[in-house]
Amino acid sequence: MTAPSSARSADEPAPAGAVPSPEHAAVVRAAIGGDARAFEQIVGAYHRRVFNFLQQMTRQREDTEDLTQQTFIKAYQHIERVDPERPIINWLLTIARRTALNHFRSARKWEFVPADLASSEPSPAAQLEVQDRADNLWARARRILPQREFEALWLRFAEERSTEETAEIMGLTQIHVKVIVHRARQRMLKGESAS
Amino acid sequence: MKTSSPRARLFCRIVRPWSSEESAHVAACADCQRFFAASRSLESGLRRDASRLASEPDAGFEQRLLNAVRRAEAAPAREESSWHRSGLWLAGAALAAVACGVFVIQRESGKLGQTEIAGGATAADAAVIVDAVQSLSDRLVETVIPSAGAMVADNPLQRELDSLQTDARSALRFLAMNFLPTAPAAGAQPRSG
Repeated sequence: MTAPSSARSADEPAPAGAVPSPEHAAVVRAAIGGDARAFEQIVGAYHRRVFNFLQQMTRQREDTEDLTQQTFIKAYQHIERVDPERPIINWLLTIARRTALNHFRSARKWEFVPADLASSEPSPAAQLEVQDRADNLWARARRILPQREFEALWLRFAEERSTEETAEIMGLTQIHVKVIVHRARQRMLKGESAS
Repeated sequence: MKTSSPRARLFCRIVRPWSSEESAHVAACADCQRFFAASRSLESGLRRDASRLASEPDAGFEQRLLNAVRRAEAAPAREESSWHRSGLWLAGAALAAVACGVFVIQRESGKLGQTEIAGGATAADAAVIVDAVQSLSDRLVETVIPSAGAMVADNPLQRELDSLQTDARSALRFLAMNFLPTAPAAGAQPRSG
C-alpha cells in the first residue's frame, strides 16, 4: 500500500479530491471505451490497495480475496460510471465497502476478528507479528473504536483520502466524517473504548 | 473563546473555520497546543503504522483476479438475456393468472347465481369483460415489468412477446366464449337495473 507522506494537521480542512494525472485519466478512458488491457492496468495498479482495505475491514483473508474479486468484477461491469477526471481509487473503495457490507449483512454482523486468534499455537514469526500488531496504533484503534470510526480513520490516515473523498466513499456528509474522525481521535488520545 | 470549554472550541472547528480571534487563542493557549501536538503525533503514528500493517495478497492473486474479470466479460449479456426471459415468464404468468381468475370467477358465479347471470348477461357484457381483462393484463404486464415495452423494443424477443400476448388473448376469448353466459334466449326476461 502506498502511503503518501502529506501531513495535514488535526481537523484541518482537507483539500478537494486530487486531480489524477493525464496518463491515469487516459487509462481510465480507454477502459471505459472497452479496452481490456487498460482495465488490467487498473487492476494491477489498485488491487493491492483494495485488498488491503478489505483486509483491514474484514480481518478474514478468504473473504478479502473473494470481496476483492467481486469489487473488480463490478467495477469492470460498470466502468462507464467512473469519472476519469477523479481518482479511480475512491470509486473502487466505494464499491469495495458496499460489497463487503452487503456480503456481511446477509451472513453475519460485520465485525472485526483479530487475526491472531485464528491460530491456537502461533509460529515464532506469527508471535512477532502479533507483538508488532500489539504495538500498532491500528490494533488499538480496532480494539476501542466502533467499526465506522475505524473505517473513517483508516480512509483518512491510512488511505490518505481527504474528508470529501472519505465522505463520498462512506456515503456520508463531510461534516459527519469530520465528527466521526474527531470522536475517533479523542477516543484514541484518551484510550477509551466506545462500548 | 473566553467562555467556551476546550471541547466546544474543538468541535467548533469541525463545522466552520476558526476566526482570527480563535486562531490567536489557540496560538497562545498551552492546553490547545498540547492537544494539537498530541493529535498531530497520533495522525503521523497512524500513517506510519498503516504501512507496517499493510496486508499483501499472495503472488497468484492478481492472475486469479484477472481471470475472474475475464470470465465476467460475458456475464452482462447472459444477465440481460436471463432478465428478458424472466420478463417474458412474468408476462406469461400474469396473463395465465388473469385467465385462471376469469375462469374461476365464472365457475363460482355460475354456482351461486347461474340463472340470474345466464339470463341477464349479453354478448356485449362478455365483450366488455374480455376487454376489461385484456386491459387488466396489459396493466399487469406494465406493472410487473416496468420497462417491458422499452426493454423488448427493437429486440427479436419482441415478436416472441407479441406472440405470447396474442395466444393469451385467444385463450381469453376462448374462455369467454365458452364459459361466459351467452345472449339471452328468446322470451327470457331482460335483466333489471
